[in-house]
Amino acid sequence: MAIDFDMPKKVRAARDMARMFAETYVRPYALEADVLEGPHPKFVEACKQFGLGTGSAGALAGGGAGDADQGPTGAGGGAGGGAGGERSGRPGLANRIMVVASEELAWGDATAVLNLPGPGLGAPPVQLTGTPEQRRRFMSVFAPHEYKFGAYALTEPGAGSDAKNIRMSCRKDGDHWVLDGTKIYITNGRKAEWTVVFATIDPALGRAGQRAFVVERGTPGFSVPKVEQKMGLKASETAEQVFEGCRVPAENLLGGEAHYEAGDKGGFKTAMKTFDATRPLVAVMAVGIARAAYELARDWVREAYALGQHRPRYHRLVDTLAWMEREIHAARLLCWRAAWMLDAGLPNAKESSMSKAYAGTMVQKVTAKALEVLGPEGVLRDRLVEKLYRDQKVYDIFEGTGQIQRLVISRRLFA
Amino acid sequence: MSMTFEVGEDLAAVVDAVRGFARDRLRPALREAEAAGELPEPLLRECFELGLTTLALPEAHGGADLLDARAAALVTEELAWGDLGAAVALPGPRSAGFAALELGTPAQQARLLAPFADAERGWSRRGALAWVEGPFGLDPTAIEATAAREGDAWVVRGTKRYVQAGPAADLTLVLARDPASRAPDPWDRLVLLAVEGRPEGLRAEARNETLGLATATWSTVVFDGVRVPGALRLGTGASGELRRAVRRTVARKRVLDAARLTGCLRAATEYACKYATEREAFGVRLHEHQALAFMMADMATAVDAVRNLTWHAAWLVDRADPDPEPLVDAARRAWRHAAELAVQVTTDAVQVLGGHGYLWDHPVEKWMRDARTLPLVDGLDLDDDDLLAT
Repeated sequence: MAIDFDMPKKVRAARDMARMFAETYVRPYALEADVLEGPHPKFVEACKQFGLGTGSAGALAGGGAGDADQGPTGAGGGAGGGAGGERSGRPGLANRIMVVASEELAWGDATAVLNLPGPGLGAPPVQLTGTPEQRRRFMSVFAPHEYKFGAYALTEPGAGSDAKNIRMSCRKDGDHWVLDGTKIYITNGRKAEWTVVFATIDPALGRAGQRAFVVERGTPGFSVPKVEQKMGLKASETAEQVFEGCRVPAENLLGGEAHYEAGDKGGFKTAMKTFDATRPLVAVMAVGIARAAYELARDWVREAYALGQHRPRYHRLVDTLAWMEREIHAARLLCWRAAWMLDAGLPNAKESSMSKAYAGTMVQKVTAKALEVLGPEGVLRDRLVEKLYRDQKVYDIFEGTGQIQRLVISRRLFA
Repeated sequence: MSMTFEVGEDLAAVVDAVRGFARDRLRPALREAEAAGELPEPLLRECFELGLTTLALPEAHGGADLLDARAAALVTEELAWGDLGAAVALPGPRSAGFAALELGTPAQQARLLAPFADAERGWSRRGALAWVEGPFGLDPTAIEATAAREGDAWVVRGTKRYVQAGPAADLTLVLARDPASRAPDPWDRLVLLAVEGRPEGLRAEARNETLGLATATWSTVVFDGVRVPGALRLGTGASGELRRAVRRTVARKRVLDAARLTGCLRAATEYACKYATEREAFGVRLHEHQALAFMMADMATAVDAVRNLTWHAAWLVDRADPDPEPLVDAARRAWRHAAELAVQVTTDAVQVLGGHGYLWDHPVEKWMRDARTLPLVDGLDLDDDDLLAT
């Protein structure tokens, strides 16, 4: 009998470690980081001390996840998910490890996941599409115990969810490519050592015209003029990146020219494959936020009604809490399943989108209810639930809006 | 490999076979069975021959020995996918079997359960739980039926409601209060007795007419001085024993009910999706209208969400922890969530078909009624939703 929800030892160990880290170095500084609008120094210090980062998944998985393909730092998975099983041909644990660990960190503070040093979302395209030389070169940037970042730039002012209509141009010029255009909403876009950037040789070619590049910080013609002010996730950096005649060495074209000649949709496929791995991870962050909201609401009711179960609302609140808990667990299991499919090398585009669609809706409903449970206390800035409510909204937007997820699901239902 | 959703080849083959049976035999008979208020005898005999009525009966008593709750959940989902009404109306020991396995001695189990596998009469035998007395759930302090000790027997008086298979039950497990008991915990004042056949004093009232699931029967059962031999008391009377057994039995039933709802929701979703690829409106097929496509995407997601929760609870059943509470929690979670999403998904399925969905020409209106009925109809609601209690 196979269906089994017991966590393998390595997964449990990663979960416990992430939980300890979240309780000790994340949650206590969550409100302060929100005000600081950046990672809290204590958190940064702890990341360095423990060598924790988005590259840690490979190390945590103990080589179970396509170790041969990972860079010399062991940087493989990450808030980037390894899709390791697919490469190594045997099931690894990297995606399940990342899913349980991300929930814990996001429970502490969702921005902690985005502020974990390492390649972040840049990892999957480099790992999935990069040549061995590129994987070595770009992943080795992230030594453990250093607070360095990678980034991923797809969205443009004129194309967000509609990723096949990006306009940023690239043209070959000798042994360089020249990039022109603007990318927005780039997580860690200012402090990143390098960014995976999607551009097109000709918008008329659609998906087939797309190319993915690694653009290193300091490349001439590349600038970061603006860091955005946001409703939530304020401790996470969201930047605009501008490329003006930006000259990128030909060896930074991910996968090399052969990759794009071989099949069509090369760059687009890279972007979409990234989503298959990252959507459950982003979805499970919503689970962590919702769980935090649920626990705060539950504990608050416990305290407020300790001696007053006859007070108005008590039984309604009890029912509401039970409903919240059900919703959270349903979303969690959808994330686990999508991660398990990745680890097992099964195609999971539909299931990844299901986890994201469900969790994105769930976290809105659950955090809104948590505020309702606390009543007038819920909207106070010095209570964490207020921040959770601001943080959560973007989980139905980034990494594909809820509507995009439903498109992905329904297209597969009717394929 | 743990933390896995893999079904496994052996079980997948069983599930495929049951799916074929559900598709070829149950689905086509769904309207006829509903109108007749029962499954036709040839179909019942066929189910019995296939072992579908004795799935959770140990091999020692002639059953299919499918005691693994995950396997049972998978098979149950397929049956309910064929027809939720049939999945609920199938004979067999059903939840009474779970309770007997929880509390019965080996001798009691052999006596009570083996008849369900009897080659002659097993095909129509039904087990029943006569536990609930009102529409307020299962509350031990509110049980008024009494079981008084008289010599070597117990004499049961009282009225039980929402008893499935009431008039036709061959084994009825009745929960009653021992008036002589002074135990501080109300659960410990109760006794669980096995009533065989239709003894004197046992009477079932007319079946309840219900919103859905008309293929199955629920009714009020009156115990008017029914004598039960002392040997048919289940359990030793040790403190906490009965409460644990009742909670585990209800949890196991909830897991299967969640699996049944999963099957029904899957059927409704598939039916709506298929219709949406065939029917055209405004020059395109229905699924090309995004408002409907998104609705169906949510329906498909809900089916998977409910199934995952069901599997998780079934896995806890199979772990058989001495403490039943994690299982009770998980089963309640799966069942409640299934009940909630059932309303949404089956209603949306009717909506996708529009006016056609409202008619008897398509099964979706039946599924909408059936799915709403299942989680309510037996009144087996333990008032235990208070997550603050721990």
